Amino acid sequence: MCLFFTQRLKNQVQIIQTHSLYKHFGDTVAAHDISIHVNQGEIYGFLGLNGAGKTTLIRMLLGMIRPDSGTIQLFGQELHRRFDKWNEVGYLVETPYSYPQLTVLENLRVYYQLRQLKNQGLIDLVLEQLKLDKYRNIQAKALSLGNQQRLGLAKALLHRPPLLILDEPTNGLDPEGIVEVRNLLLDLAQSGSTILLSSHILSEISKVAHRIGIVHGGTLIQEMTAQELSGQLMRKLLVQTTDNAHALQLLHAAGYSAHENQDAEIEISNPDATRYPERVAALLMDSGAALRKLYVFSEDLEMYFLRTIRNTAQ
Amino acid sequence: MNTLIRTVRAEMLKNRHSSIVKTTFIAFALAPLMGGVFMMIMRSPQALARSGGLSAKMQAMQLTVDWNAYFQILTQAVGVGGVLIFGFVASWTFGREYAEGTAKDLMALPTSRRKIIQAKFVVYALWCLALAASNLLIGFLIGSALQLAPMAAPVAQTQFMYYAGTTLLTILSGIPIAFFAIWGKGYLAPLGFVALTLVFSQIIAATGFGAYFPWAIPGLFSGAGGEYRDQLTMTSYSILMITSILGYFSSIVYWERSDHSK
Repeated sequence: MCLFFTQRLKNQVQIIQTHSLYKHFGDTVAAHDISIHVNQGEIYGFLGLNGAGKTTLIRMLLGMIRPDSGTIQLFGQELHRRFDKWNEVGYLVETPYSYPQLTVLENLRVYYQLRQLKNQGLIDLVLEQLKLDKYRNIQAKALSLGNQQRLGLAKALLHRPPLLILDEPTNGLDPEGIVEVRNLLLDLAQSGSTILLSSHILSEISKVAHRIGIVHGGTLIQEMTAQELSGQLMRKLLVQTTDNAHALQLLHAAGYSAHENQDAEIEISNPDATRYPERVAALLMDSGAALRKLYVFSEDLEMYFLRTIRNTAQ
Repeated sequence: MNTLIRTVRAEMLKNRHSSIVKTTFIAFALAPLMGGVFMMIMRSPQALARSGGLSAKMQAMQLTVDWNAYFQILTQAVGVGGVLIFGFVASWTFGREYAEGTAKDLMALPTSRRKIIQAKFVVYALWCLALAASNLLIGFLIGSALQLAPMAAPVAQTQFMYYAGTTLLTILSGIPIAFFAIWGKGYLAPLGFVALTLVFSQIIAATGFGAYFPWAIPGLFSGAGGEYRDQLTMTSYSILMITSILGYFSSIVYWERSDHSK
């Protein structure tokens, strides 16, 4: 799948291209030299803590905020005031709000008019697609948080755009809704749509994104494919014995890189140790260092994300 | 043109079920009702004697019990009360998108930002015209019910011209409020501005310079300032027109070019 996808990317056009974007709000750096590209049919996950600059980038991509410098191209066309491909773009920025007095149907009709659409069937389709059909005559103010999120997504998908820019699309959704939206995004990408989504939840992004960009303090600090990400997760073998000092001597003598942590556990970071923990167990047992515990620790995505950010800050 | 019509339709749809629309019509309808009460009090010597301060005020206004006087009340209500109510309509129409968090959904659409603002101005004008027409209708019903003494056709025509002219000038005076709603990103700045214009209108009109203050001009034109109406010149109308044009274009330019981070 990885090879197939990599090959596909090489053959595809770039739907989003940014070149060296800078944006400051007073002394706050919201974007610092951000250059990304997103290919057709790709899902690009933009990851960062709150205030990292994700929403600023999304607003710049949508022409809501003008960068201090740098350029943006969507569908190969430079983004400026006369950009005329907005019906190719669907978007959701931060918390989705709707006109509270209007029903779900009326809210969609507002955007049907503003998007100058000519096929009434699109409204029914999107209502069905996002399971909002039974709420069509309910006022938006009476919707649950999850259904308000669905309505926000419905507005983004109403005109079947080939490019979706979604800021925290699964916010407020229940687990079933999260899975539905995830599958929807995967289906859309499968059928050729390009999706840029942002989130502060790495595990969610990693389930759908083909490529991930990590942003911190307005700077893109890392960019990788989902496969590269899983390869970069830190793994180590943790061991506790009745005599850790003796065990450390044995491990060092055997060529392992090991040290004792604050929890009185020996951390061994050699890839060989995590791949063959039974060899470490045999070495210690044979030398009389009785084992209390031994397990392989795998860093999860959140830990990796935080570690990356901390390393950057240092 | 078709784009603008569809955008106006969308703007109209946004006001469906809105309690604000009903509130403005009810609030504005107080004027013909109060005018009707004035007429009833003036007609009854006992009621006039009991009304104390109100009686003095009515006599100061030299009100008579006829269509002509009643029409004057309606016109003055548009010229003075309209600055407040029409200002409220403008504040709502242009500030609601920020208050409801929907402004960001209007930024990246095939309908240009300029068209959206223009559609809002169309809705603002239609709403104000509907308010003025509604007061005229209510006034006609109340006046007919009170069987007010009729006025001659030329007088009626003149009164109607004043009513229509005052409505137009008041609508023009509300246009710059759009800028304050967009700049202030909500209702507070425009409503504050409306309050300030009302206060300054009173002060400036009292000093005799009302004819040069855009938001005092509709009131003076309506006859609320009595003989001060005669101070209005082409300069006065030009000042109001220039203020409106500046308000219109600054709203569009700010909406089109400023950063939208809310």
